Amino acid sequence: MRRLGLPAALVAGLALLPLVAGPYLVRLLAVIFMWGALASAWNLLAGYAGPVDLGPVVHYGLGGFTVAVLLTRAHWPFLPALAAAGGLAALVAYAVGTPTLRLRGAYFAVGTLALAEALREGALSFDRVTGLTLTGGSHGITFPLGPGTTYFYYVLLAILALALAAALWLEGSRFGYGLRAIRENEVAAAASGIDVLALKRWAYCLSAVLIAWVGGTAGYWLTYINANEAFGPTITFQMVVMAILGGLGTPFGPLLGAAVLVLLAEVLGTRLLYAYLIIIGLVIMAVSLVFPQGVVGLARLRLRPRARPAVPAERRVAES
Amino acid sequence: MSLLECRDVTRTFGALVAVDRVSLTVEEGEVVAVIGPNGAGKSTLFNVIAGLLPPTGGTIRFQGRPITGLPAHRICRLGIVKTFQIPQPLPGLRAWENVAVGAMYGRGLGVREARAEAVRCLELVRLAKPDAPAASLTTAERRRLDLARALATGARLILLDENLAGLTVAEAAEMVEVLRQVRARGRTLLLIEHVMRTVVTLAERVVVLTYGRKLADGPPVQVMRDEQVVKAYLGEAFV
Amino acid sequence: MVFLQAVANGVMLGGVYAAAGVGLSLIFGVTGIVNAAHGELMMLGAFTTYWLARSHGVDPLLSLPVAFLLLATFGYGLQRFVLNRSVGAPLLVSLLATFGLSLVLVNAALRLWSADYRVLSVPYLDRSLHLGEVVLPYTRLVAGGLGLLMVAGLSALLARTPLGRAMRATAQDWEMAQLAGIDTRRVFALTVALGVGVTGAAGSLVAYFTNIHPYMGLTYTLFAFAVVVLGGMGYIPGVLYGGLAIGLAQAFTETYLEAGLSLMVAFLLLYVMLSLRPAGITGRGRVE
Repeated sequence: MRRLGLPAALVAGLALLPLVAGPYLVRLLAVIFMWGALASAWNLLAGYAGPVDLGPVVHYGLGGFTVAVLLTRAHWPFLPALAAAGGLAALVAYAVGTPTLRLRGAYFAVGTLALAEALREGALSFDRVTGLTLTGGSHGITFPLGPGTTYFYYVLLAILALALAAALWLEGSRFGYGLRAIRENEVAAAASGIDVLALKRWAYCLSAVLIAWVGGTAGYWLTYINANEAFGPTITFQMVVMAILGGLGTPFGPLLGAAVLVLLAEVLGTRLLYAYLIIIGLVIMAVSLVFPQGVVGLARLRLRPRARPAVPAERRVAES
Repeated sequence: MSLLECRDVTRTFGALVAVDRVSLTVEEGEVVAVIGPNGAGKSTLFNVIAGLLPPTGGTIRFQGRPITGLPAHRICRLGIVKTFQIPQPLPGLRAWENVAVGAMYGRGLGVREARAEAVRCLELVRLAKPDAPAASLTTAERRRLDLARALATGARLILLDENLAGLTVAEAAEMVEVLRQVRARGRTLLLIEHVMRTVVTLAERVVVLTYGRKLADGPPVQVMRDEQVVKAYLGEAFV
Repeated sequence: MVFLQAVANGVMLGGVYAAAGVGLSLIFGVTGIVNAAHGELMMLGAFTTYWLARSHGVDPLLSLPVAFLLLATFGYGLQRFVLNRSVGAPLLVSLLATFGLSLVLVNAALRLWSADYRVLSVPYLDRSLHLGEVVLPYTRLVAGGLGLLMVAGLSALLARTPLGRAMRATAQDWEMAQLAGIDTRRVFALTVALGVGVTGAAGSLVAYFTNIHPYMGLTYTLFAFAVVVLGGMGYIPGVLYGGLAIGLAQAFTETYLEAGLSLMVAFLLLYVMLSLRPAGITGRGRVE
């Protein structure tokens, strides 16, 4: 944790920023923090341990709806509701992760995507089918009016800081080494004493809690949540692209990717929403086909000492 | 009490019986070689012992305690570790990190102690480049890396799956020396080997497998003179 | 009887779903590419049929081969110039790349045609066949039947033609196929062309009886995955089992539970199958 100095200073600086900056900048940064936190949280599992989860919206939506229900129905204050949402997300992630994380590679990706879509459909129909009013169907739930943007700026900054701290922790800790071993070679990892499923599950739960917190905060900030958007694939697309573009498996890469894409969206504006998404689509195609390590990964490769070339093959021992 | 006791271990894949009621024991401190023609079930047996595959039948005891059907990571922590025929490094990590992972999870050490242990193990296997990225190592070096990682787990019984395959004469000789040292430090070795010279020099006991069944079990010279063994390897004409 | 009606609905749907899944299975089986943009390709096929009918009065049945050819060409280009890099790479590379492609296609479609729901009307298919108490709308009957024909046609191609043989060889082991003299790059490109073409045609079929809109793709991608996983990834005849299973699941959910849940049931089936038996009902699927 020696390199904590610079990031800590940055966080402190950002914490003081709203005192001097105008509302536009504060909002923009808050949006960057939000996506940065999502992408970083996603990176904890996909970047460090390996599994590509295409259903992170499950936790996002769960967080959002938990906070919505607790705020509107039970009249809890926001932060305790957020904490509860995190707890619920962890439990759900544990339960869902146990069977799902056994799936390999693309099957895990498709399985989580299917789960997210199933949940989306289920949430949309829930009220109609059960007669309860929980998810609000296609109308969604409206939150009580919350504090101003600056409040959410700080909450999202805090979540982002936690996500980054988690990633930095993974870089040097025993748990982090375990995850990376799994990512590099799952069989070798298991043969070296690593309980692959258990470690993946912990990473999945950690990721889920952070994502749920963002979901809960975003809902309150936007004062509205609805099952179609909160459980929809557009959120997943963006998180995934941001993390991959910025650099999977690096602590700050996803934040960088988030910043780039949020700024891009700002530049393109709401009129060119389609253009923004098309560009994201093309970016993800390019990155996955041409450089899978992402921008930060590339930079990292160049900073590492050059590997010595392999020794040329000699005469091999004959098999008797 | 034997260190390892396999009783009637069987492993089938559908209709194929890869390991057919193999019983074998290994005592602490021994070096036992498992030989046999290709396809005899040697690697499968090792995978079963190490927990990478569950057995379809039979029991396995380690230090008196039943370990049949336990997953690989549990068995590793209990004290049995296996290296792979094709070396399985963690390519994105450095050499010491590769080995340290074994110490961290096979033995439960913290990062700092694991690193120290990793450096020791790398020295033992004569791989003096702890900071090299594992992806940059040659096959021979990767073999030694695998062995170092296996050592770092603290396992008492090390299963070596064709550790010498594809090595040059010089590399093989060095590896044999390393294995001798490993043995001198109190580890028990069970190895699959095709190189007879090695088998005879290293192993005190040889077990012959063919078509999944154990054919012979005894000191090297005796086993290699055994009629059935010669028939299995070289054919009727040579008996 | 309500039960028989549900069964009939399921079977008719099954034919369409089988056709929807076969392209995905073929492409995966031969090239190893996991196509996350599968549904969007169907969407393009559906729109092709719709616009040809709306703007040029082309009979939907006639636009089927057009949709096929158009999408097949697109597929060929896609494989030759873009996806070729992902062959032999981990599955996730192609999954993510096609994920991106789906995003591009959906938003391009939104840009061109807006998010409005469109409905294809085929006046001469507007009636139904009545077998006892069971009602078989012609639109669904024809779609299902054509779907099955497409699957049969593809199977025949695979079994009887030199190209089909080359595809099967490449599916088994593309390096060996290469050594045996097969031009695998061409086979890959033709496979994707064929697979995408059939997928586009399946989209055309779907247009007969559902709403057409740019967002329809994801649902069909997942349905197709469900069909293929249930039937066995890469095992062509399996799509018949998978299609039937999904078709019946949807029909029964719509009849006995509630329409909005039918997708959920299908996805849950997919999820459960992936967790418990990734090789599918038949056990012949490729599990990586």
